[in-house]
Amino acid sequence: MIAGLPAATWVLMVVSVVPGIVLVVMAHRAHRGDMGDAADPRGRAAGAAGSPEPRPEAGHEADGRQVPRRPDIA
Amino acid sequence: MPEANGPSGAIIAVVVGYFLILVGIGWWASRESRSVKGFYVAGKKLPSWVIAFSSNTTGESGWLLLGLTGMGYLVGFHALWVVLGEVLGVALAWAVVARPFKEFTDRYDAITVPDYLTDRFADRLNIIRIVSAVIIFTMVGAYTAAQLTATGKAFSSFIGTSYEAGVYIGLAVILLYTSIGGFKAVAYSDVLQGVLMFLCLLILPIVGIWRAGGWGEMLAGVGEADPALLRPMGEHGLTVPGVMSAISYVGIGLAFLGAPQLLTRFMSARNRGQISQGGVLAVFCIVVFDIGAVLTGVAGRYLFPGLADHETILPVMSTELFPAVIAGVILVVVLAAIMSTVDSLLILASSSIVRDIFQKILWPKAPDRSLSLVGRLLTIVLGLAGLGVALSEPRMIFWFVLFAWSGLASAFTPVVLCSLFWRRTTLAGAVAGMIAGFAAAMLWVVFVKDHFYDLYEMIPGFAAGFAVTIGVSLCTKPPPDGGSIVDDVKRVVGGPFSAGEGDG
Repeated sequence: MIAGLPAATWVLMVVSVVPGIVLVVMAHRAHRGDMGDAADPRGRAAGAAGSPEPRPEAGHEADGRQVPRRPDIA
Repeated sequence: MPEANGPSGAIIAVVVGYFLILVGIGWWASRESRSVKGFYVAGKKLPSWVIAFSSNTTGESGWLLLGLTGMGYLVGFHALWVVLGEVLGVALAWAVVARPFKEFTDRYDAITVPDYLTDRFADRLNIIRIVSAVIIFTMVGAYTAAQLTATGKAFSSFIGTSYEAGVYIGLAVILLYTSIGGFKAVAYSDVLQGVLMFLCLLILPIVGIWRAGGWGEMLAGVGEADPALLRPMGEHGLTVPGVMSAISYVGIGLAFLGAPQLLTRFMSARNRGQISQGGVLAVFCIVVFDIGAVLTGVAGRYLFPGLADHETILPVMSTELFPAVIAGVILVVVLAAIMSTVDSLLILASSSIVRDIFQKILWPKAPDRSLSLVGRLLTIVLGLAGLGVALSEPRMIFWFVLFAWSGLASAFTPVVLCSLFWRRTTLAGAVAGMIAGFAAAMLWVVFVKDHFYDLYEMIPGFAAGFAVTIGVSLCTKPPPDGGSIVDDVKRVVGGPFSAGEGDG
């Protein structure tokens, strides 16, 4: 018994909570710079289904000019 | 029960104040709701914190406050298996499902889940829309009726009104702000409701444990009454029934991966960056919601043993341990949990008719404003249908909520997951998978559940949904484009833990 509860119950409590938090924090860290194309209507139009234009890479206009990144609001 | 003119007067004042705020939110959001897209996904402009709260409060109905606290009261720490399922379900939904789903639905300009599936599988005959509408309509009807039943019971146990009066009042307020403000009103009212639920489930267990004499005293008392309440496998121990019970509890949380009323939240995000931020908040909230509910039930078991109905532990604790005004706030929290689910379900069912049947099949040239108006009227009609069922069948209880929850999730989750991540999925596989998942969950309840350790119907529902979607897809002609859009979306959004080309 640990603090009045069987050790197995504490294990279940930790297993219930910790993996989910770790998972979502890792995903957030991997994608925190991702502002999505909806923030930039030009990027959306170029990448949308049916559009003849290729989807521009992040940080670049379709013609290859460097454009400033939006600030990370995370 | 509170006295007629004293404490209940304070409770009524708190409840009236809360209702006025909700109607105010509906009025504030009404500008956004004039188009179909505005009415059903708030124009896809919602920020991360709104999506996080809205997703959690839609997933957690009155079942969280009355059902899960009651489960903690009845089975003790065995209920932690529900926490495991829900935290994992929410975390996986935000980390793995949300970003590709958002990208897909933006590419197709989809505003409902059937909308997305129809475009994803180039379903020219609209079979997916029709099958989806039938499933959503029937399940939402049952779900809404059960939630209205909970409203009536909450009013009668806190204030002492009649059951019928409680149902009428609750529905009237929901219909008012939902039909005026559409999805935006629903989402922002969810934030208010989510904050209230968060505070309640943070404070209630702390006060309960304190009133029980502290953590050690409470556990000693509960363990003395029944040692199984402290064990993770409960009264069955590590036996087949015990394991089946744990699996059933974990299964409840799987719906977060693909129930349509939850996926709509991801669709309404302003952009994928909002999703990256919202996940952390959503998981943090669900941890507090669920652990708080289980601990409230355990503390209640020590403080108020021998309740005839274990699902009344929260109303009992709030009226016995707190002054009338706080009890009024807790009633508001119960109503908030119920309303935040019912409003989302009404919008979901309305969208499945207006967008998927009217706009896309029957009346494609209809003006946007006319369809938006039809959406409002349909929301009211659906609410009134739920009212009819709730008034004629007041015994509807929380197993019915879990039943409808599993029906919706079993029909959509396997198909949505395959559509997002498996390029070989075909239209025939998707349609067959939806029908099989839904039918398996329903048939399991009616014919098998009682004879198979009471295993929760979502487990066979998911198994059948995945098996049939994959099996039929493999037996039919591959998609014409080879499912290349799946690879393209993956390239743009990246994996769960790696950035894609579209990331900044």
